[in-house]
Amino acid sequence: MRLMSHHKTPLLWGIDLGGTKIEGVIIDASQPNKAIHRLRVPTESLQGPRHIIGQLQLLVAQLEHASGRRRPDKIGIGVPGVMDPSTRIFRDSNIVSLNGRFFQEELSAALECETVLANDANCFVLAEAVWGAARSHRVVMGLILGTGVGGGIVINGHLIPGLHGIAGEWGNNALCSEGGACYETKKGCNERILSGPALEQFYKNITGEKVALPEIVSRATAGEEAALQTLKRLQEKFAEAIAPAINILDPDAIVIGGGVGNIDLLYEESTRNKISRYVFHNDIKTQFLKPVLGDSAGVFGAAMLGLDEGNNG
Amino acid sequence: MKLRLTVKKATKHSTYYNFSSTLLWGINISDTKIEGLIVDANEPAKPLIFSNLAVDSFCAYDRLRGYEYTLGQIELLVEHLEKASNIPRPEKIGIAVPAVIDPLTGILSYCNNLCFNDRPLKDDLSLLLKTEIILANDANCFALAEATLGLVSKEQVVMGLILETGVGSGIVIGKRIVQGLHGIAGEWGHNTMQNETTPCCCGKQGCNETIFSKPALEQFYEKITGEEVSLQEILRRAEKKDSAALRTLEHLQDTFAKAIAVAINLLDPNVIFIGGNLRTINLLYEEKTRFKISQNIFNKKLKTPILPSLLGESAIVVGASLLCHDFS
Repeated sequence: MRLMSHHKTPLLWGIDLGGTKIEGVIIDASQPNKAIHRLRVPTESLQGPRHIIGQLQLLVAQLEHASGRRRPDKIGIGVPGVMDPSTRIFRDSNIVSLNGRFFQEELSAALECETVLANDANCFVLAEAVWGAARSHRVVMGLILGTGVGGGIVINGHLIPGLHGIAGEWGNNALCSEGGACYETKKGCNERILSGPALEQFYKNITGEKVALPEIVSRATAGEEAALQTLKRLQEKFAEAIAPAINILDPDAIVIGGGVGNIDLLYEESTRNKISRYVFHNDIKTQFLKPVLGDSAGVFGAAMLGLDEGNNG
Repeated sequence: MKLRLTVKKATKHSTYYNFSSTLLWGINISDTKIEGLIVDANEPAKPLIFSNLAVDSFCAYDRLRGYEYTLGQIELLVEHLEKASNIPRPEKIGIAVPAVIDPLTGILSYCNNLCFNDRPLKDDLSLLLKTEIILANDANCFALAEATLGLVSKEQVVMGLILETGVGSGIVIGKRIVQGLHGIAGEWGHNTMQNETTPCCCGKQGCNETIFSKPALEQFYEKITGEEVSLQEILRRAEKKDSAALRTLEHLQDTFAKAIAVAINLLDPNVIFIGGNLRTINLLYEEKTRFKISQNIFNKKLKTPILPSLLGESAIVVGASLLCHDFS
């Protein structure tokens, strides 16, 4: 066992619980860009909640062993899903066995320390807003455009969790041009149009070919008509979808994560011009930023949850 | 010149002036009048002095009067507040305007009183009144007043809606106004709605403001009946089960529910206050409306308290005075 030198600033412990792996880091808040320790264990989520909690215990024990430190009083954990702030019941998780549980209480008991839970998209936004792409901005909206569409809001370095824990969930808003929302089918939701799978499906409808999004993007670069059409549609619909968020929150910067967020077109002037058409302002200056922390954003954001009480969402 | 100058002196309070406490001065410039008040920072809901200057002709229709005339009226009001209170004007005065204020340049835009557009009102008024002016959008002032007086705890997110001639809102987090990069935060009235094509003053079509603002509802009723009546009358007729009036209210309920759901999904505020003329429509607070909202949000049940304004008519001008208060 190796003993760490004494740090002036407190060390933060963060865990990112994913469907396939659980990642844990120990970071120094003054040098957040590099983790002092980073470990992973498989989630093996199909084996149920008890096993998942056991894996989290294992990870924390391994972090203690690797760092030669005892676990801190507080550990931040990024989770797929939402803990309802009023009932404290966990829900909307793609690790379905965790839904309906008092997951935070269970974790605090199992890990023998205070745990601060937040939605993984919120952790991503928190890290990018404070340490990443949007670190010089005060009001930051983060979007995840991946398999699903979600987001989070960070103001002056604090997460805005929302009364129901849904702040930033613009993915469920409806697009007028797609027939509006329907709660039952969610037809016309942003998520059904802007997510990676939705774009792949759109491309397949034209060509009959099932192709991954990065391939569609490179085909568009090569000038292929169907691929260009797919990206053009993304641009149009993204503009329509993000405008209400600008009208309501008017953030300084919007960070776009997830696979769709890699598409350069979203950051181009032509997209900004299309957004302006739907916004209550003629010349929008909102910064659209690509994330810079990569896959680590989630776990870094989770570590930041340990910093103070306000970041619980 | 049609000028009405009224000063209400709250005698009960004026005899108990406590000069050690902070007095805040606020002014609200609306389409038809300019109102000003002086409040005690500890009791902002009870104005010490309230002065109301009715101005019937400084808006866009009267090109002869315009900007300088309006500035003069504001100066007159400030002088009047000084006389009525026997207190010289303070070092700063908060002013609410129905406009978007560019946070960088201070230039006004999208103001119904067209004479204000593209003007640096803050600088011009500071110079004229020889005191610091803090300008804010009127809906932002409204939200600030409700957030301050609504016993809202520190970190909560408050959305204050104005439903009247226009549809707008202000967002206040921890008693601080969220102004937005372009100064447009809270402008959900200019989100557009499906299948709606009515042209809006902002240049787009189908904005929420063209669907359930007061004039929009009156037009909706007129379209059914051919009769031009005020919203007040439509509400009366709805009580008597007039079918066109009931349809108008149902239209309000449906479209309001869809429109506010977008804001809840995005911001998920801790509380929503409704101000403006439409705040008195009980329908907006009913369970059926809440159910319709819940059908469009990312949560099975709607828990957000939606409440009528606590301060009513005075909310905006009280909020303007609170611009001068340091909450930290």
